[in-house]
This record gives sequence, C-alpha cells and structure tokens, in this order.
Amino acid sequence: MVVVDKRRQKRKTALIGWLFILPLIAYFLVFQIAPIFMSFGISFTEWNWRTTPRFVGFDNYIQLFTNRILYPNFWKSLWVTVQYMLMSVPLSVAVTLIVSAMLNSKIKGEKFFKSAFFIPSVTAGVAISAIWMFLIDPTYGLVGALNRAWGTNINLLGRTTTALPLMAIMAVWSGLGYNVLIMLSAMKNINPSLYEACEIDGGGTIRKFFHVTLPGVAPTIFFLCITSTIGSLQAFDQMYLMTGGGPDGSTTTFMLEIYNMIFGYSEVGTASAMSYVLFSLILVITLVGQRFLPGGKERKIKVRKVRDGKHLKTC
Amino acid sequence: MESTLRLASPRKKKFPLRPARILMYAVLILLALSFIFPYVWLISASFKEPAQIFSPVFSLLPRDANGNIRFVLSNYASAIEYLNLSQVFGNTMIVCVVNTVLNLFLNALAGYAFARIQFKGREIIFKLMIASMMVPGAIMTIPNLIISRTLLIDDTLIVLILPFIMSIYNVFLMRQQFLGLNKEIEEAAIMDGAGHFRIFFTIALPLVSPMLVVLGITTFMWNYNNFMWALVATQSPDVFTLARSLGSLISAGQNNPSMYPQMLAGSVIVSAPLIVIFFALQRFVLQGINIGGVKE
Amino acid sequence: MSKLFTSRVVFLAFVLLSLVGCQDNQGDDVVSFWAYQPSTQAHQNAFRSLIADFTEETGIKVKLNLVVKDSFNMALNSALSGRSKPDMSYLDQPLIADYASDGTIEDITSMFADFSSVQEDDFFATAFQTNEYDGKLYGLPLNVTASVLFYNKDMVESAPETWDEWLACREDLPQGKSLFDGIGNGGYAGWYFQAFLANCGGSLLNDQQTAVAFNDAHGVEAAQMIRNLYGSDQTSITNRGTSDAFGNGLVAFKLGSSSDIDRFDINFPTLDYDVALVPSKTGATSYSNMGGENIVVYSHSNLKDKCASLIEYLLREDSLDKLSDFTGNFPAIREFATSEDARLNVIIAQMENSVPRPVVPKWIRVNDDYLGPALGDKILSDENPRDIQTSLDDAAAAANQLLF
Repeated sequence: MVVVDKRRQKRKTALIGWLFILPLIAYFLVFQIAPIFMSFGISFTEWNWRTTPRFVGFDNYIQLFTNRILYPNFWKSLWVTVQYMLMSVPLSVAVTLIVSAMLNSKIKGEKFFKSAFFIPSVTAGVAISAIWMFLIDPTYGLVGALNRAWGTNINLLGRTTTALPLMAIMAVWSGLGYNVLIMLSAMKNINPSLYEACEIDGGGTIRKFFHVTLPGVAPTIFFLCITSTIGSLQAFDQMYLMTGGGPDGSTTTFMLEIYNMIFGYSEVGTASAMSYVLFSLILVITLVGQRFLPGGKERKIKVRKVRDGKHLKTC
Repeated sequence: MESTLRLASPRKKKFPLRPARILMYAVLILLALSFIFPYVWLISASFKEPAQIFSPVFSLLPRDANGNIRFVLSNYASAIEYLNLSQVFGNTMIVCVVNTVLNLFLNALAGYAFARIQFKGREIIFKLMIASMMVPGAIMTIPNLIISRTLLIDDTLIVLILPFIMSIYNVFLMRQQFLGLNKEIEEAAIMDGAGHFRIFFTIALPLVSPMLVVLGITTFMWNYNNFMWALVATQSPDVFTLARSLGSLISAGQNNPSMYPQMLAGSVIVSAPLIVIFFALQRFVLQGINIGGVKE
Repeated sequence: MSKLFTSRVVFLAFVLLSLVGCQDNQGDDVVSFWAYQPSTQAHQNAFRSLIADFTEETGIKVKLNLVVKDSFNMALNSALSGRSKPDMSYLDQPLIADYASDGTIEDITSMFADFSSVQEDDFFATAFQTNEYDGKLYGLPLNVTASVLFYNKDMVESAPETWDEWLACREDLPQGKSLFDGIGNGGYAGWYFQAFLANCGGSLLNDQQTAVAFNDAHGVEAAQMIRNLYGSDQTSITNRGTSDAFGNGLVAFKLGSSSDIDRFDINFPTLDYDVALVPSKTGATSYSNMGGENIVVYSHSNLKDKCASLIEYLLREDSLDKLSDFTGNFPAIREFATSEDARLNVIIAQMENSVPRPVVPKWIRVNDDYLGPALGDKILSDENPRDIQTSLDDAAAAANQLLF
C-alpha cells in the first residue's frame, strides 16, 4: 500500500513540476527553438513577404559572399562591425578594470561615483543617442561651441574616420556603470589575505594588482569580454538613430545592414542568411574566447597556485 | 593598488594626500563629470528658447534675449504633442507592467520547479535552457517577426510583451535563490498537507522577494528602453512606446536641426522617469548586481 | 488547483485578451492614410484638421498616420507586409514602378475617369507621367516641386546663367566664404545630380530605356561641374560641413526648393538671398530635377471608393494649397499653382522644364545605393575623391545588372 502511494505521490509531484515549467517550455519552443529553425529554413529561400517563398538552395549565401553588385555592403558592414567590436571591447574592459581598481582602494564617495557612472545604464539608448547627437553637433552643440572657440572644424559624425570610434566611445561610456558594478563586486570578493601574502612577499601596488587582483577577477573579465563582444556584434540602435549608416557606410553595422535588407530591399531570405552568418561568427568567437582568454578555463588559475611546491608564492 | 584590509602592522600610517591618490581622485571626478555634464547640458538646453539653442553664445543657464535667466516650457509642449505622450505613456506602462509581472511570476515558477521539485528530465531540460542562452537576441529578430505576423499579433501591444515573457537568465537566477532556501520550512508545509503551488506562492516566493524586486526593476527598465523590436514589429503610432516615439523624433532631427529643441525636451521626458526610479530605489538596483554577480 | 491560482490565470488571460481586443477595434470602415509628416507642429495639426473636415463633410472616417519622410519608405514597406497595411498613402515618385509592377498598388485608370472635378490636362504633364506604368495609371500627383538656385545677395550680385559664369563667381567671394553648399548624400545626391545632367544634355537612361546613360560624357561633365563648384580648399570643406551653411551665410550658392524658402525665412530672417533658375551649361533652357508626392491606393484595400472620395477631396484647390504648404511644394494642378511671391514663381517657372526620375522598378535602389553614393561619397568626398569616370562606370554597371 505504502509503496503504491509513494509512487503515485512521485508521479503527482512530477506532473506538478512539468506544469510549473510548462510556460517556459511553450515560450522556449515558440520564441527560441522555432525561430532558430525557421530562420535557417528561410535563409535558403527567396522571399519578399508578399509572395510565397521560393527555394533557392545556397544561392543567398553564395550571392552574399561573392556578388558585390547586388550586395555591396555585406563585407563592408561585417568589417565595420568587427572594427567596432575591436574598438569598444578592449577599451571597455580596460577602463572598467582601471576604474574598478580605483574605486576598490579605500576611497571616499564610492557610492557617489557608482551612481554617477550608472546613470546611462538606466537611460533609454534612444535618449542617449539624442543627447550625444546634440552634444557633438559641429554647429550647435558642445563641439560646435569648441569649434567656434578654437576655430576648428571638428565634425565627428560627418567624417568616416571619426564616426565609428565615436560610437565605440559612446558604448564604453554607456556601459561603464554596469560593468564597474560587476567588476567591483568581484574585486571585493577577493580574499584579503592574498593581498597580505603578496605584501609580505614584497609586492607593491602594481604587483598586487597584476598578481592578485587580475587573477582574482579573471572569470569576471572573461564574462565581461564575452558579453561585450556579443553585444557589440549586434550593435544597431545608435547607428540607426544617429547616422543611419554613417558617412560612406562607415557606421553601417551588420545588424543595420540586415535591417536594410528586410525593410529596404524586402529580401527576407538574404537577411536570414545574414543572421546565420552573424550567429556563426558569434559562436566561433565565443568558443575561441573560452580557450584563450584569461578566466575562460578555471584550471589555469589553480595550476599557477600550486607551482613552487611547498611555499605558496603569490607574487 | 592599496589593500582593502586593515593591515597587520599597526605602525603603517596612511598618507591620504599622496600624489598618486590625488591623481586618482582627479581622474574619478573628471570621469564622473563626463557622466553628469551631458545630462545637465541636456536639461539646460531643453529649457532654452529655440533661438538660443541655435545661437553661438555658450551659456549653461537658459537666458532670454536680454541675458536674463529664463526657463521656457515651449519645447516640452511641442515634445509632448509630437510624442503623443498620453497614449504613448499609457502603452509603455501597459507593456512594462504586464511583461514584468508575467516575467517575474513565470520565471519564479520555473526556477522553483528546477530547484525544488523532483521530476524526470529536470536536469536535461535545464542544461538545454542554459545552452540556449548562447544564442544572441538579434538573431531572433527576423524569425520572431515572422512568427508574430503568423500569429497575427504584430503591430499590437501584445507583440511587445509576448516574445519577452520569459528569460532563461532570470529562471537561472531564481533557481539559484530557491536552491538557497531552507528545506525544513518546505518539509513542514508538506507535512501540513500543502501542495507545491501553495508552498511556492505563500512561502517560497516571499522568501526570495529581494531578488524579485531587483529582477522586477531590471525587467521593467529593459522593457521601457527597448527600441529595436518596437521599430521592427510595430508601425501604427497607436502602439508606440516611449522609446519608439522618441526614436521617430530623433530620426526627424537627424537631418533637420530645427527639431533639436523638441528632441531634447523629449529625451528628458522619456529618460526622467527611470532616472528618478533609479535614484529612489538605488539600494535595490546596486545590490542586485551583487546577488546576480559572477560566481568564482 | 487552488482558487488563487485559477483566479490569477483568469485575470492574466483577461488582460491579454483585452489587449488583443483593444487593437482590433480599429474598425473595418476606417480609411488608413499614410502621409509625409510636416516638419512643424502647426502644420501637423493643420493636416489633421484638414482630414477632420473631410470626415465631417462626408462621414467617412480616416486614420491619418504622419511619418517622417526619411523613414517613410521603410516603414511603408514594413507595414505592407504585416497586418496594418494602409489603404492609401503618399508615395515617392520612383516607387510607383516598383509597387505597380508587383500589383501592390491599384490601377486607378477607371477610378480617375470617374472623377468629376479633375482631368488629366489639369495637371503638370511631367508630374502626371510619373504615375503611368505599362500604359496604365497607378496614382495621381498631389504636389510637385523643382530645385532652383539659391544665392546669397551679399556675395553675388546677380544670378549666373551659364556654368562658366557660375564658376566665375568664386573670384568675387569674400574671405572665408565658399561657393557652393553640398548636395547631400545618398539618395539626395542622386536626385540633384539629375539637374546638372539635364542641363548639359545628358539623361539617366538611354532613349530606348534599355540601359543607363549617366556614365557617358555628359554624366562626367555634370559630375565634374559639381566637383568644381565644391572646391577642394579647406575653407570650402569646413563650410560645407557646417549645418545650415547657406543659412549661416557661409556659402554663396545652394540648390533647394520651396521648403527651403520657408526654412530660411523662419530660421535665418537676416539672410539676404534670392532664387533663380538653375544655370544650364550654355545658357539655353534651364532644366532641373523634379520632386513631389503622388498619392496611391493599395490593391488589398476594401475601401477603394472611400479612398476615391478622399483623393478627390484632396485635389480641391484649398486642400491642395494646404498640402503644398505642409511640404513646401506646389499643387500639381497647374491652375492652382500660382503665387504672389516672386521667388515661388521662379520655382513654378522652373517646373515647366523639370525632369522626373525614370519610371522603372528598382530605380530607387539604383539612386540610393549606386548613383547617390558614387557621387556623394566617392566623387565628391573631401577625404578621398575618386576618379569620376570610374565611379560612374561602376555605378552604371551595377545599375544595369540590377535593372535590366
């Protein structure tokens, strides 16, 4: 009797468990799984919304990669996106590390700084674009005032050489607050005795930073690198709002080009193919990053600690 | 950098005014200014008369033609009209509130199940979910658009809510929280004959409320600021959100500097609520990063 | 399940369903009409009351959606493939061919024949032609404009009439001023290019309409002229990069149309300027590029007769006057396009000899992606100007491949 009851109880529990995650499963299937497969399928068709899709095999991909007339911006937008990533991610991580380290030393007003840096993170990206667009206007903004004062002609959004770097700086600026919070909390989790040990071994400020702090927050650095990279490869909002693709296509990121492909040219199949290219790129970068970036693999840190046998030299 | 710990040897004195520290403070203050100044400038410009916005004279405070300090509200009036504020604000509130409530509820439900209910296949499904977190959101845009159109929900408020009704990351966080709960309370409740749902609702959920508050705030803010999806999935001004509406105002200003006054006032209107909420609930937002921070 | 649970589920379902319901009560008898958004709030309100008057008069309900012109084409494209398709809308002249060729817009030849108040002869001929595709009528012109020459009277005594005279004005420029304001980027560059092309005897397509012709000798000449007008000295570059350079008195000439007249009058009241016909190369007939809005009805619409009413209403004199006011253009009906303002009369005169863009599908892509960038970004680039013939040839090759 008792055994049967227990089994029934177990089945009832299992049923409830499934019920609880039913919304998740439904959502997952409809908005996560289905899209992945749909997108894949559509990328092999030619479709302009209004008519039925026409199967074209790998043609979309081939045309994207080779036909410079129909798709002149494919490689260019990819390159723009990669450039943007290479500019914003290292800068973001570096600035985050430095600022966090500064805030980590006994400093007054830590809360004030954290709040100040965090303001853009709660501001709509749209509003941030508006603010910056006005600030750097070469005639009417802050830059305009500087232009008049110095007699220069700084037109940041109008020159191909400065438009994209400006966007990268904007991204670093916007994300700093959030990144610093994460990094700072990771830094605070470092065992203080490690610092002590390093001091005893004769380490000064610099050595402490490189031999205790950095390894200690390595997983967080990795986390920031990956999330910043994935975020930057999908950049869209600022470019759409501020330059619409920029002088001579210099701020047309991949996502913006996908957007143009869908709503400008009505080529849904090609746009899906482009999405898959981006997906693959992100996948590759993530896997590569996991191998080579600090903190990607936990064992690297442990190995270092056990070196030197008995006396655990930390510096 | 300096140690955060009280040092073992008491004789080491602090030198608060070492040049390195002064430099550090200077850098931090300058940096903080670079974050605050744009907003100050924004607010100041939003109260200026359009003629002054375009004038070459650089002045922080809004002044009228005679040089007296004068705040003008006309930019706000035009911005409110352009943005169709009453309807758009209502839309945004509906989207944000409904999505946040549903999100919290459903994610907590799933997180609880993963943490505290035994059922076959639990671990596999969970791992599958985690793997899916790898897929970046932008890839989903086109297919989600197609699905939305198939379901006939595009260009409605629902399309702004439904595709984001759950978040694997939030489920993960909720599961963490629930895992940390004391088993005894649960066992006591089971003895009393309570079903899992009652336990979830009356006992577990209240216990993780700090996390719920944090997630609630971040989800609300995310929905509030979401632009790209609104751009792609909606066309009728009836269903515009604040971010979307502001976006069209900025597009109008992109090649037409004469829209700057409205654009600036509009930006203040759209970003002010969240900034106010942030400062009011600062404690929760900042602590939330700690809770959800990366585990070593 | 507990009562609490079910009650919450019911509540949520109710909320969701009401949201669905909310959006669907737009009503099946409301005409959805998309138009370009006027740039001032006052004009936007005037547009709305114009439509409100129509509803009052006829009882037909209209939902007016004003979209910023720069985003209009994309937003329209998006809506046409989704749920909330407009019944009728403004349409950029070059898009008529695209939407006509795939059946998106309705053939309104018979609808137009039934109009009691207007006939074909009432319209400016070239404007009317931009609505014809494959021998049928797919839209009607609402307003038209042409580009004319704006010149700063402080720097230029009288308007030049030949290209040589035009370039010669550079010699008399005061220090720090430059000759010509930019013609913009992308699609705009392609649009203005046509004025120069026509004025030296060239054209965008060849006579048989089987290939593009803008890379021939005339095309090179036109592009060269624009480049000469630009000037490559630092002052010119600086001035061109400034917002509103002409309004701020930094350049002597600019191409613009009627909307610019309003803008300069309002934003730069102290500017002493005038308008004149665009100089042709040799002083012969002055040609210019034509722009304007056409109005179309969509094939999917169930309210075509109501749309017809609205169109006829919009073609009345006072409606057309107001609509033209909003965009700064002129009524497409010749009779109504009169003005007391001498400057506007110059534009009206220019319109007699303005050339429209080719009515071939995908032309807009050629304009925005090949021709426009070839000019705006390559030939006329300040940082790295490229060879004119090569750039035009590349654009022509791309265009031919796309179009024919």
